[in-house]
Amino acid sequence: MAKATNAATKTKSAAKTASKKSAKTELAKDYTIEEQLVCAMAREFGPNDNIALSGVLNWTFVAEALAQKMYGSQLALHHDYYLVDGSGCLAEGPRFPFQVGDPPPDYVSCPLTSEDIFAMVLGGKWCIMMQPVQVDKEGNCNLALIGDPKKPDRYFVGSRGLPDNSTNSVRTYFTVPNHQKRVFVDKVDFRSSAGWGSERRAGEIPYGAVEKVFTNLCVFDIDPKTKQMRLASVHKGVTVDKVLKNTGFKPIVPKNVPETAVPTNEELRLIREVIDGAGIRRLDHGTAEEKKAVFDQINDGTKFTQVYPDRR
Amino acid sequence: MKDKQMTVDQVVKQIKNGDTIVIGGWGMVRKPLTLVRAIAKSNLKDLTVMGLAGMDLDLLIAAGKVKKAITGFVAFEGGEGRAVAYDAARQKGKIEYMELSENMIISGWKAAAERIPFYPTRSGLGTDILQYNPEIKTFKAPYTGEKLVAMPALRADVALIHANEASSEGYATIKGDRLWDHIIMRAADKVFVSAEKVIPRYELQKDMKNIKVHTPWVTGVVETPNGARPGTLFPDYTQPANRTIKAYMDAALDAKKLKAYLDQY
Repeated sequence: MAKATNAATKTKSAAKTASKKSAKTELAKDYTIEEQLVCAMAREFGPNDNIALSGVLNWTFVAEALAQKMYGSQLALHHDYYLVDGSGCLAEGPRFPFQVGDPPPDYVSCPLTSEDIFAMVLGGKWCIMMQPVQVDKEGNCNLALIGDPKKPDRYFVGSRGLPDNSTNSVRTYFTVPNHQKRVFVDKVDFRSSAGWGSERRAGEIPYGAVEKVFTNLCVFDIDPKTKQMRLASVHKGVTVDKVLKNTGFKPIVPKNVPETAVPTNEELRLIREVIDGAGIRRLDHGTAEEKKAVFDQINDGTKFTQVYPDRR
Repeated sequence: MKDKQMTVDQVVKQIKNGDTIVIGGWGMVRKPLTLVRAIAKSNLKDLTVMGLAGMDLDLLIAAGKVKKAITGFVAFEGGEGRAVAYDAARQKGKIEYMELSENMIISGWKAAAERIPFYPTRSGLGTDILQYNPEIKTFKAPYTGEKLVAMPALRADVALIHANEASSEGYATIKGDRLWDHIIMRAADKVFVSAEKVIPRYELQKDMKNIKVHTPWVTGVVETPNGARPGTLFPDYTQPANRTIKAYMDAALDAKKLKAYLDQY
């Protein structure tokens, strides 16, 4: 499977060739976990990638905008505003309530129908990033329900487009804002997405494999040998122990687990000044009270309709 | 041309106990909810209901009309609310169900629309959808040997869809996303189109590019102003009526309250 341009490598080699480290590639000294996470997510995408976001995690919006600005990623779709008024999904640069940045100037806004969207899924045009209910050590995820599938304790919304994306898209990513045992389980209650189970290991599913899982504590990837979830890196100030204590399965843990890539000053400047001046990236994790405090601080009375003007 | 206009009651009379009904729209978007409420108030029973479901399916379950649900998802997407009756029915094992992915249910409709027994797709491979629905089989592609899902055709007796404007001959405009209604109406034996307004064909013709429903598929046309309320219809009403949705959710699990809700709306 073609891998996107590895932005991290790009940044490294650029730093090597420069006689003096420029401000652009200089590593930042002062950054938050959210910023680290946003940069790590954005670096997954290159100029040939189209990104589709499903769910309401704000930091994925910021990561998507950063990927567009730094790494030239193309089409961006937000499933949470998808079809809300029935006019079709709006394909354009990241803009959302409280957003201060503008979409890239060369961006074309246009409505996409459901058929357009599924054509892109089935035709292998995009990478999907979404928030699951459960993830297991094979990288399977559950979006459908909790408990026995025949009599669930709680039914969510069903598996939706995940069985389609995880067997047809270019790459699949998950993001989890509150890393805890009940999310990272040994075996998911219902496999909504095709992870690295026997079918994929046997080569029966050529597309849509899960690449990475980004959480508020760490990044998991897939161990090439065992095809099980591997602890790829931990964020600033997070110990391996803390990750393991909050994970319901035993991930593969390499001898040395590095810190998640440190943002460059240029990345931070884009995030803080251009893309997310308001700070919506802080809205995704923490207690309800903490979130509300951030929300109240951010909310300037902007209404959804002001951000998304009339499309008629 | 034949005049296909009828009343809501005449539509309901054409549905039989045990019928499979496929409902157009998506979540809370452009759902033919006036027709759905009429079915909820009728004496019909043992229906199989298919769709990318929202309040339509949930209301029919709450009203005790549903024997089996076939869904790509069940969510009040486009409005504020939750499928309380579906959740409760699943918890208590009260209905039969076939929970698919979006593309799997669409593939089933495509097969039915083309009168072939199944539609090949990768969707569903490696998931528990195949485990819990053993009637869905996989096969090896005759040319490459690749393993694919043979999604069985999902044929319906009746399709219900909602449009912006219709003519009595059975043409209709859909001004927003037509979603999968063009497939749905080809996958059913009888198709009933509710529309905000029934207008003469020469008026409808002025909006030619939005005519997405064509008469050969259509059995009946019915005028239902605000027919997708409390959901949305682009561009007539694009904000969901969340208070009405909440009133429904509060009433859904209580027969008396539900009757009062249906009497009111």
